[in-house]
Amino acid sequence: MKNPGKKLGQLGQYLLLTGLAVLCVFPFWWTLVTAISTEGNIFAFPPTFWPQAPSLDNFIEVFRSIPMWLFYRNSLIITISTVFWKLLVCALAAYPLARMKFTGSKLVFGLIIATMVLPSEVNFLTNFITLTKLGLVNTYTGVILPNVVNAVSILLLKQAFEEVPQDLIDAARVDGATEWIIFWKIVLPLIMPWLATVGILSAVEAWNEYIWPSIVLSKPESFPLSAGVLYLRGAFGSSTRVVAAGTILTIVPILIAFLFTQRFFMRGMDGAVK
Amino acid sequence: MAQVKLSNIVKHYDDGTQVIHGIDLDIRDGEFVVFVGPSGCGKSTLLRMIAGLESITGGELTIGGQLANDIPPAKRGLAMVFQSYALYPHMSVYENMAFGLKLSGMKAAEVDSAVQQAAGILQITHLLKRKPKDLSGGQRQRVAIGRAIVRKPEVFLFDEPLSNLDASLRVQMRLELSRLHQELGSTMIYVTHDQVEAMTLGERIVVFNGGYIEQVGTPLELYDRPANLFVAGFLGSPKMNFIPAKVESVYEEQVVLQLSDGALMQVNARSDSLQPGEQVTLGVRAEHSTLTSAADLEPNQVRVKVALVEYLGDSCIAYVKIDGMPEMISVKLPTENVMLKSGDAGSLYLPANRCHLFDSAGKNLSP
Amino acid sequence: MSAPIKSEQRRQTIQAYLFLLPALVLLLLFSLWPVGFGSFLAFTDFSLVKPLHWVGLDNFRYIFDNEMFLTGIKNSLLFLLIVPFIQVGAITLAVLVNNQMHGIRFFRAAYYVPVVTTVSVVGIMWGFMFHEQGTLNYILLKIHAVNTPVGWLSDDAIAIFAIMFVTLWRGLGWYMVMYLAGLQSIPSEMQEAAILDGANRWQRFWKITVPMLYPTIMVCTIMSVLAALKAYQEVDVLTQGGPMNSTFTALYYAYDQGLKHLKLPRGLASSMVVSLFCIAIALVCLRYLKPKHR
Repeated sequence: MKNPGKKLGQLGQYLLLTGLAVLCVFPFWWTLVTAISTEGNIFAFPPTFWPQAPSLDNFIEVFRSIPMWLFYRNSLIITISTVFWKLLVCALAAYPLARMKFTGSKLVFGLIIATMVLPSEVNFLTNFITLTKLGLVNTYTGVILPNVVNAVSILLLKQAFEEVPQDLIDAARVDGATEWIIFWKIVLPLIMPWLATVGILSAVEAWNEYIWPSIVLSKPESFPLSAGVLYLRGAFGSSTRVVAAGTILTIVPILIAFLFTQRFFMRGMDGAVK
Repeated sequence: MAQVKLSNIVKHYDDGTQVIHGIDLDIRDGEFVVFVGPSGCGKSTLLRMIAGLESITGGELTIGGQLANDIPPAKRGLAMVFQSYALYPHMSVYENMAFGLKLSGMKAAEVDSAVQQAAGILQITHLLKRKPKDLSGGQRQRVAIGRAIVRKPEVFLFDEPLSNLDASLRVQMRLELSRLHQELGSTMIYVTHDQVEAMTLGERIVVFNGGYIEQVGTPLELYDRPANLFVAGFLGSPKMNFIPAKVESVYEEQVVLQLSDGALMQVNARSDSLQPGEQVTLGVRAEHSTLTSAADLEPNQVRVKVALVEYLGDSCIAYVKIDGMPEMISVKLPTENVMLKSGDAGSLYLPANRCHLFDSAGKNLSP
Repeated sequence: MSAPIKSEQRRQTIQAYLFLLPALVLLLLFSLWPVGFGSFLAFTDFSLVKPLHWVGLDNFRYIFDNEMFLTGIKNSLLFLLIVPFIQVGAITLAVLVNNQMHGIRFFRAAYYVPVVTTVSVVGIMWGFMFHEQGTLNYILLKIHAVNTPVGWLSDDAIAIFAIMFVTLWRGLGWYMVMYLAGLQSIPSEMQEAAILDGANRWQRFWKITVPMLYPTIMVCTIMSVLAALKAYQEVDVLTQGGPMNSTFTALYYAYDQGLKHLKLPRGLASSMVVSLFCIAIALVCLRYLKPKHR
């Protein structure tokens, strides 16, 4: 391989990658610019691509007009609770499917797969009715509960458990451990990376979900950020900058979290697709 | 009494395949028994059945006088050392060894003394705080054994524990295991496919093939008096030579055979079931035959040509060919008086009392 | 896997179901029960204020007569156009980033960012982009591609395509990650053997990479098809069905009717139609795209 040819090829690749990255990231850039600028009319021609008179005024305005801290808090509560219960319940379900032999295992597994095929969005309506009957409307429990069991999470964790060598489990059985102890003391500690991956995916999903919370919760003060930010658009239709600022404030936390944990996540998906 | 008794043990899988056919075995208290056989012969499956990790479809398993078929693994008074060691990677050596004891409700002080004692026997006290990934293969092996010892079991089960070690380490560990058995005096059931391990470690060897027991006996019994072709060919290195032959004439306690090139051999054997003209196999070990360069043939000698010679340092193995027989015959010779090279002609002497005669079904007809 | 002894098996079965209990209860309650009950309700006039009556196929007759729902079906099918684009795009991206180049992790993150962004926020941002005096029009006018600003979200002929583009934009990164995982599980020895055999990049891609990716491609395609049929969130955040009801999708109609106008039975009827469609497609895909076992 000639060196100059290779360098040129690499350059070309970088150009292509950057071009595509620009396409993906551009809306964010524009929104950020709009949010930071305080001068110039965004809807005038030509729109500018660089901050004009940068300041944090718009951001402050967002905090003043809608209860952002409240929304942040709500989102955090919902996200953390969802991830915790989801990991717990799905791990508990994945273990027997992966490592225990019991009657009806095929049926249970089939049921779980079936829920992946059926459009779950469809269930919003009926689940709302169920929540009404259970008296869980307008509660965080009602928001979290339907999301706790997730077929994809169970499948990923099942995969994780299957990677634990059977010998370890046999040794533990000979040592006298019950399944409960094997689960908590032997297998679960060994799948930490997988738990992290599923946890991150779930956290992102929970943070971003806006339709179901807005259905279940009737008081705007209890809305998570994803739903609350839409109020901005209604209330401030004319002040695009403030809306833009609100947008940035919504996605920055999740982007930061995602960027930090990206290396777990990308690697964790290996072997998940079979 | 920690003897293990198997009565007519049978195992089917769900789809109907039978893997273990009616095994009867009595293992005495304190005995070191080796299950040996080729891959897939069922020895590991049987071990796991004794351990309680596999179900027993039929027959009775008795441990220490008690029927054990339905007792869960942990309550059978056993400990098992796995081929892959199966050490819990996220726990330290100490915690690995203490795990089973803690589960049984032992107090911390008792657990500690048991672990320290076992660690002392295996000389791994200095490793107690390390994690398995920081240990070498041999050290992991010892921890695996330590984990078993610590439970003071009635019976130790070993599932090919040395096969992941390199050759020199294997020899070393073999000696350690023998020493361990002497020290502890517990019953030990050891599974391996390596016949050297079987011969050196076992007080008794059980040879398995296809879910059946071929023969049970002490190493020397199996070596000198193999019950059939399979056992004869399995133990001993180099493998016993099998020479196809035809029955020429039958006498009381003696048979005369004709080899592929027409030479006649006289062999001591129980001759009742043999007819002249029958095809049989003559078996002789490499160290029992001799090779000379004599041109004249004496009784029980056959003309051969040397194909190649392997020098082992202390001895050498000559591979010779009889006219009309495709396989080579190995002959073990001392290095000093041999200046053989490929192509040389010689005569092979097969002593009548050292030859084995196997009938067409493979059964050994030696007296 | 080992087969435990008989009483052990019984014990394991009981224990297994104890482990599974919370998940099964929730699954039954929130994933399976809704399917049955929802289907039943589609044949009634359920409302939170009136008592229940069976109405047979009335709801279905209504929706199939309704212009919004019919537009919705048409648009949902239109969404299927995205599938080939998104899959090809994702595979391309995955191949491009499947290396150890400097900073490649940064690029992977950049492509995945649209996936992790809240949909509501995506709606706001692209709302800006697609505005008549917004950025996209500005660029197009600047490079003289068009002469007057395009009503991306206000023109009833184009709006649906604008929404489809946003869906594509959001989905690329997600499938890219799936394909990346698939690519990384292809043993490098196969590529190396092919290089030694003299195959160039193009040949290697088609003869080795694509066949080995086949299971991934199948899974992703099915998921993509199902997702396209179920699209509705982007509609909600960008156009709420407008302009002139041209951007309704089948499921958006269900959501709109069921939760915004509280006509639950109609919403359930339309979502039932979508469900049946999805099941049918899933079965067809599974039958005809079964991966060949090596």
